[in-house]
Amino acid sequence: MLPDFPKLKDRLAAGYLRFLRTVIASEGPAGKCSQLRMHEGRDGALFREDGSREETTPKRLQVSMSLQVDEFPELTPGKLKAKYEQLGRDMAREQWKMLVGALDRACEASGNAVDAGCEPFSAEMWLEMLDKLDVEFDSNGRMRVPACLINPSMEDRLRTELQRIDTEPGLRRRVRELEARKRREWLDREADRKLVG
Amino acid sequence: MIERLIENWLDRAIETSLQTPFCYLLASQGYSVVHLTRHCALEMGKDVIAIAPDGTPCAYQLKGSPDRQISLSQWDRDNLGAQISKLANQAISHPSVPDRPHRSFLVTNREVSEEVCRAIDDLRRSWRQNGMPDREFQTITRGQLLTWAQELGRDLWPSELGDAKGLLELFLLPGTGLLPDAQFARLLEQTLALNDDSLSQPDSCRRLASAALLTSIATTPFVEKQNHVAEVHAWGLYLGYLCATVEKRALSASDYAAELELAVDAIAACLEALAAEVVTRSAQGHMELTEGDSAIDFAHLFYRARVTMLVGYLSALALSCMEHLGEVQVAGVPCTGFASWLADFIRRNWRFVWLWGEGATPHLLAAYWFLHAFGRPGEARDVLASTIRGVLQASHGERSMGLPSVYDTPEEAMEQRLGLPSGGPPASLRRQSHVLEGLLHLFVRLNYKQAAKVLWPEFTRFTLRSYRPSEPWRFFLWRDSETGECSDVLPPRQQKWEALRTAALDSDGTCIPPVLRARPELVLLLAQVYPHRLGSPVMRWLDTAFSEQRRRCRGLA
Repeated sequence: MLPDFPKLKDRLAAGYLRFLRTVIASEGPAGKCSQLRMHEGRDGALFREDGSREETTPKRLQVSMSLQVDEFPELTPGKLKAKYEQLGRDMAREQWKMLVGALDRACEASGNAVDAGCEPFSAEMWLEMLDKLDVEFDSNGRMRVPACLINPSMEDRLRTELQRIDTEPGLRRRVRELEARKRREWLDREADRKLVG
Repeated sequence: MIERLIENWLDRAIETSLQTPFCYLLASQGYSVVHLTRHCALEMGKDVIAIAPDGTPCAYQLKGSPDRQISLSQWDRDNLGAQISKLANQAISHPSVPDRPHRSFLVTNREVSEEVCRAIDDLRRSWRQNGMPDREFQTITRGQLLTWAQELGRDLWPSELGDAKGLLELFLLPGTGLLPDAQFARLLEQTLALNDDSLSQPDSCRRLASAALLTSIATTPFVEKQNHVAEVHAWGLYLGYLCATVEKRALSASDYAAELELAVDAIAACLEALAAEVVTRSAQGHMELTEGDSAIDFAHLFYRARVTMLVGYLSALALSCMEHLGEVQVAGVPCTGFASWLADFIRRNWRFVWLWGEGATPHLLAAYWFLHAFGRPGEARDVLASTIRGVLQASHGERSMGLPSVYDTPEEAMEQRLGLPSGGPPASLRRQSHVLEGLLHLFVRLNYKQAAKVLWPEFTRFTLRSYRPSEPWRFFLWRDSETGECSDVLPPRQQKWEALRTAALDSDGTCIPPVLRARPELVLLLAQVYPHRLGSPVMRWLDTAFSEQRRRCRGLA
């Protein structure tokens, strides 16, 4: 074989891998929700508080990065890093697709889905969705509004409708009532954490 | 290349490190090893006593040399003639040895000089002249040992370049760090061929001896550095994979009992050597437990991790001899004295004990059970309570990352705690635990209802994680990626005390593979080597087993 620099190249490869994982973590769902790492085993099972059990089986997600032969002579660290960044984004997108699919199925099964009936998104719909959720509060009593996954094309509509909550008295009152009700529900849930007898 | 490795190992071995693999070599030749001295004192001049395949008792004395051969000057200096006479002429007194003349052997990993051969001939002649013609004495030298080892190793060890490279990497380590458990486990898996269903029982038994020899070779750098914890890990992994083989192949006790006891003896010898070292060093002050750069040792918590491991392993050693307090010596003192010293050691060093990750739990539980056994229930309860608090508090606060997982090695856990770059951004382990349920169950067994009620709300916020192997033998695999189920349980918010107590008292032992159900001290030791196997059923079973041990000890007292 010809002379090589394996130690240094290994360090660089490890660095690119770390970068890739950073991109996936920042762009994908991993940085937004808790993860349960599976160190061994083939199958998984989740046992919920109500005693119900759900089987989980690992799914394979894969994305690819391609380099054409004629790209190599002009390849620089910056260009390679850009390739890894795109790879990370592609993997993050695959993760989101899988997560949204799982959320869809879970919502349908639990009855937490709100059917918009082909109507455009509205502040009233938003409040109806919040009403179905178990909402948490922080130690200062502030409501932790759940993260919202939307299609980018809906962003402007969402902002406009949420602004109505601040400006329309009727909606403001509904939000206050909703928040008070959710706080009571949360306090009841927290008070229920007890060992009795 | 493997042959060269065996040669190199044999040439570097000393008397104490040669003893265990020599016994496995004998076992592979069909001998039954009935006694192995621990080198605290030579018993009747015999290091090893075995029964040959033809039923003849055999006594062996192992002797090393700083030179390439045992010379006449060493013969005179060490008074080898008298030792050999004692070896050959003094009858073997052992219940398992038949009452008939025995064969004697001087075993060395060196050659024997011509002058020494002549001296041995003179001895034999003198026995014949003195009316003892039936005294049989031979030497087993480097050449014979090498042949036996190569026969055992050649066809059974990893033969592909990548696998042999793994063994060589271990052999060439500096020996001062922790054993690379995963790498060593892979070698054992390949040698024992657990996935090969066509393997016969005799072949499986032979592979046990071969794996033991591989263990001796792989631990050479650690033996040279007297890194006893690494040796404990290596023999602990060997013991685990031996149990996997026993369970998988349904071996009978006669097939594996000798190999199992040799491994247990090897572990016990390492723990006793560790105890002797710690006793000596700690008498010089706590600074004497440092290694390497003392400033970095203390500033970056390595010292604390070391003390935690020492507390755990020494507690396991003390527990293993609690039922024989008056009979057994540890670190040169009766076990009662060692237990007293250890309880004091734990009290003096408690401020250094550190829950670096969930992987430290087995060490803390070893201390918990030891303190209970030693009649210090209040201190035991404090150990348990602080461990539970440590797990809960690591997840306190929105930005907390939780404790490193039970699957993380101490080094990986410390990398996370020190914020050193590893494979990528660290994933939060907040409110996830493999050990919390078991710890709470042990606490509930103590009947501290009010304290349990205080812990309960935070406990309910955790995801309780566990792994269940699909077959008993897979319990002993370092990682089982092919089968088994990972469970994640969200506990109910509200629970009745009585229902929790019922769950906490359950310890039917079905989680413990049958080969170890009578040996709780080995299960604890394995949990310290395989911390990811210390799930709540194992914790409860161990707690029950050590409670019964305490009752038996009180009955004996």
